Amino acid sequence: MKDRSRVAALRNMLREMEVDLGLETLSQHQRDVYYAACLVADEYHAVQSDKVRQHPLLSDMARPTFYRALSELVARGFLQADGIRKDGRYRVKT
Amino acid sequence: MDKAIISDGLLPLTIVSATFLASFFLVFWLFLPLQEAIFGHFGSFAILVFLPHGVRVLTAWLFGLRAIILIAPASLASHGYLFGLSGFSWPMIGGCIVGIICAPIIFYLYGKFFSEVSYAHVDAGSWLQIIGLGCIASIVNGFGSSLFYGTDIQSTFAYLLGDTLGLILSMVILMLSFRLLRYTQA
Repeated sequence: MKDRSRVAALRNMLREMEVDLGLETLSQHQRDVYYAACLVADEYHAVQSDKVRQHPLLSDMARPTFYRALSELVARGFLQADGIRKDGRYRVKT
Repeated sequence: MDKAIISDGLLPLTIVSATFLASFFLVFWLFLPLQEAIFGHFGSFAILVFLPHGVRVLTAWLFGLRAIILIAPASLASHGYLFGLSGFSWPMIGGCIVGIICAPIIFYLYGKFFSEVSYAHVDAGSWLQIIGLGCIASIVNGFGSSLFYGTDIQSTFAYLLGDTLGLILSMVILMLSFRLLRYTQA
């Protein structure tokens, strides 16, 4: 167990280094929106944008920032627009 | 054999020793010939990118003073590979001892007088703090090595630079390895 926590600490420290050096692929906003989408997704990985926006992780995020992050996540293939265009349904790509 | 002896003693010792020796031979078989082709020869095996310093520093961060015991076998083996049996006589062995104790002692003293930088602490310390303490350890190691090996000022600075760049490069290699792992697991 101790060794596992050492590996976790090492991995976390290097992850912080990766973010600080700008090597992380997603911005903080994009990551928060993606994490929230993962948390509210149903068993088919489907989510409704309004539900994602209501998640506590995104309580401080401005509406335009949220939608910008959402469209960037779609553009980068982390989320997929699902159903009729602009009806707010997405599928989380895992 | 007792499980605790394996997980708390033999496993870390094996991982640290294997990583130290792998990085050491990578440096001596690949980096050193390249360096000599480009910059010429420095005295006393001074290498401009010395990856094993990264192993020393990260082991000190993860294990505290216990790192001395974990680093010692591979350090002594690599020292013996470079200098032969004469390397174990005084004052040559002093240079090796400084290399073994520099990082754990610096982490310990920093924790004693300032704030603890350890994986086990609530605030484990940022990567910049780890690199900073690694640089201080490399200064101690550089001057200690020059004292015991009797190297010139040029080689001393090559040790300093080699340890610091080696630490940074080994952290970048680890970072990219974890990143690759994330992608392959996804």
